Amino acid sequence: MLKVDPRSSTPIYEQIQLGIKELILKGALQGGEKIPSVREMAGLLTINPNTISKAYGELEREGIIETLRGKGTFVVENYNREADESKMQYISEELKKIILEASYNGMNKDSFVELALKIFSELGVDKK
Amino acid sequence: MIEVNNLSYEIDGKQILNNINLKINKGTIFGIIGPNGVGKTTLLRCLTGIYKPISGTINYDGREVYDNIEVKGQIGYVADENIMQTKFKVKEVLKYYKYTYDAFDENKFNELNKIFKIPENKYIFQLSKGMKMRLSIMLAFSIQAKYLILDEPTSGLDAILKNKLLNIFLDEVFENNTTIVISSHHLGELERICDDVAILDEGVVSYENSVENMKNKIKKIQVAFDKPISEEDLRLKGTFKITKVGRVFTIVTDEYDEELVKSLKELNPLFIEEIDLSLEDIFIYKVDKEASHEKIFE
Repeated sequence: MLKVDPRSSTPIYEQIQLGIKELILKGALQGGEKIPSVREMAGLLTINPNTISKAYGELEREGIIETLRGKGTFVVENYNREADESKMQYISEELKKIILEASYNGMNKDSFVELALKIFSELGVDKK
Repeated sequence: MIEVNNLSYEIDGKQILNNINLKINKGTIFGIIGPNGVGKTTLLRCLTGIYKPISGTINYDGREVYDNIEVKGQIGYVADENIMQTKFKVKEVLKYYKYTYDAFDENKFNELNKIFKIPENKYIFQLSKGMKMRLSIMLAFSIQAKYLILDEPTSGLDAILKNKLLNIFLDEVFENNTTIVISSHHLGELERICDDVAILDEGVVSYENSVENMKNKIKKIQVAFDKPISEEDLRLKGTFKITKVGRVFTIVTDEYDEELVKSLKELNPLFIEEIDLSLEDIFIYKVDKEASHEKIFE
């Protein structure tokens, strides 16, 4: 289930956004499946509904979920996994920072790749 | 929207509130935190129109609150202590509310009482502290208020009721677009439910921001060097606290961004580590300036 740590420095909306993405990648949430409404999610997590709305808004913008009026919010079928170019650039920049950070902490290339592979298999995205 | 402009208040010639400015948006939850005795309750009593400000204004959608029955009728207030006549029975207080507030919704009261379970035939003085608080909350929620001013509403409630209550607050905001102002010492719960938070210290608002921005901007960073570095080198923008234990410096800043991290990296540190800061930590750093609670082993 989705976990939120209000004490973390990552803003709560971002934690929810990442949490839902993770559930989708792990297959716990599948295309076409309904996710809790803003109100239900606010109640489940005891988190401000405005924060939930923001997380859902971001996910919608990314094309991961969609809200059908009067029906609810759903995970998009066949969510397009082909990352667009701006996203790729963003990922490359973020990765650069992480690799820099890893080198600062004495990590070499092999152990970094090993770690990356481990995370891929944990998330269950290495099968396809 | 609630707008507080240059609000000041004195009690017996002692300045309690000093030039307070706040903007509280409709449909949001605004948290007020502060050490004991800095004027939180006084501020809330000004907001409800119980106290008349010495100077400054408090407007609800452009209407002054003091002595304004119409505005006050839309405000639900939960005081930090019992303000009900103790010789009344619960059902008599209920009757009093029905006569006083036109919009009083008895169904809503009964719905809430299924959760809070207050016997209507008891006298107020027979109720425990937590029961009086629950009753006060139910009454405030039953008048269909557009604004709720809650002074430490969760004190005296057990963990289960507290959680139910927080969900009732969230529902109220979601369903009715109600505006909630809440003071509390339970910073963990405010962190979950509030849009914005203000820190009140010695009668002034010493810090105000959305919870989200606070998390992005206020950061605690630990950094270590194998060469001598003076505290002055680390006094980057927004830094308001630096402590040093051995080689490790702990920096707390309220203007965190990539540029700051870059300036730190230019000093060639052994490591840079960002440490989670909860609202409670932020509060302690912002208010308790002298004390040093730094530990490197956390």
